[in-house]
Amino acid sequence: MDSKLTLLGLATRLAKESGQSKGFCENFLREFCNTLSLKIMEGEAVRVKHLGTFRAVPVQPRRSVDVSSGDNIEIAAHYKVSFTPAKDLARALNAPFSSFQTMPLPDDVPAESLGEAEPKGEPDAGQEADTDSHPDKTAVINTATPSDKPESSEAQSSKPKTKHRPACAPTTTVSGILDADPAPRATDTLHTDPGPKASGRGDFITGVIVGILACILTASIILLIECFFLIPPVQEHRHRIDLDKIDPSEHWDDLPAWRYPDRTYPDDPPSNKSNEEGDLPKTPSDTVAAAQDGAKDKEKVIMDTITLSRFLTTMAKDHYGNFNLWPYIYEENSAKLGHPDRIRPGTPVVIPPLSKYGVSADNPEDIKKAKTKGAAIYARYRR
Amino acid sequence: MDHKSFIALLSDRLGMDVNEVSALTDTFTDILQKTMCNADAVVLTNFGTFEPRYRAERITVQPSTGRRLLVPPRVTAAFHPGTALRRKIRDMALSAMLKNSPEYIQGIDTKNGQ
Repeated sequence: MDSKLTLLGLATRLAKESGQSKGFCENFLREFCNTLSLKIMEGEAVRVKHLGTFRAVPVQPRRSVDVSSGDNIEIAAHYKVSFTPAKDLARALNAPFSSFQTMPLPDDVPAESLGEAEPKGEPDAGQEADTDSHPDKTAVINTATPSDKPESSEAQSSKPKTKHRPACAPTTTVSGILDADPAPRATDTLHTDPGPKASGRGDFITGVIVGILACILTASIILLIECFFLIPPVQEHRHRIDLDKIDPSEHWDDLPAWRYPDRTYPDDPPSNKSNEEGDLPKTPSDTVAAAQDGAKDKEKVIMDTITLSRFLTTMAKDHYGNFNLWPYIYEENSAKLGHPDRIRPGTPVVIPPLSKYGVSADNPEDIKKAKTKGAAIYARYRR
Repeated sequence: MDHKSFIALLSDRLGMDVNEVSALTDTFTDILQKTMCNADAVVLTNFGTFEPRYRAERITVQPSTGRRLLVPPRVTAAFHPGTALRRKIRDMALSAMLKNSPEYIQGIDTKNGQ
């Protein structure tokens, strides 16, 4: 890195790679340079493949200042050697920066925030003033003398025009940059303003986080709504609470018999209470057994409750022995029931005795009538 | 002068075959390119120096639109002619260049007028 390969070293490497002797390669290189110099001196542009093009470029006479004495001097017109590297050589050298592109700067970015990038164009403007690329020396000469102030200010004003180019700068590269498409690309990471880009990435991350939180909050609300309104509480618990709240004396007909064994019915003498023997029915099935006992069951009101696993058909099967007789339970409670398939769990229903409707579970004709009745019930809610 | 003519001229001066000279020239340019890619300079005595030159990023103004452009840094190949070559070009090539260079003639006239 940053070392120099001399002619002898180059000849050694050339001899090693070409298989020729070192002296032969040295002579070849010297003759190569001499021939090239000769043709350049003749004013021809010499193009060497994979290396570049050499030509002599005329330089106009100009005024300058002698640094040692401070006198104004005139630099005569002369020629200088211009070298334009070949495309493959330029591409190979610029490979580390090949992914960068020229970017247009936004108008709202102040020049102060760009640091030292702005004044760096200064040496390019003054570099062509010298025959060889010594921008520092030329800049000193241009700014040291008061008589040259108008020229230096003029040079500064014409700096963006890039009229003159450095002697060794590749001409195609500069024009290509100025004519390049200024559209930003995704690979341009170095030449974009880091502030807006960082804030943009921060906004994106914040937006993603807010979106995820909003989704979680919405899902939680929907879940809570579903829990409170769509899924009913446990039937036993709700039933117990309801029964505790109501006054039993006012709702004898709606209350289960096993819950209030000491209640009396209008047409039921107190001596007929089922709890006199002390056998309080614990479950509806016990009540079913009691309902099927005989004439005493005809006058007894049996209550049951709709649950998630206990429907009208289940009750009909338990109480009557045939699930097809559910329409009679429905008709008995039609005032508080809607669609037979959409009864709210926890709804207490009265199980009427079959004798009330003159129906027997053993009679096929009655079963058929019950099916017809069920179809009629469904027909009410059919649109 | 294109590459083919230059190789032919060089082969005449060396007394070698054109293909052999072309192969040597390709090897030479390949070594030159590899050396410069390693950020090393190649010094050819009495001719000049080839060196990679780093150009820092800068801001330019596009004259047609007035927009400011941020030009990325780049590495270019530069050739710095040696003193001998510069002197030769200044002194020895004047006669040949004067024939085909009105700019130079104009420059000489300007100098003489002052």
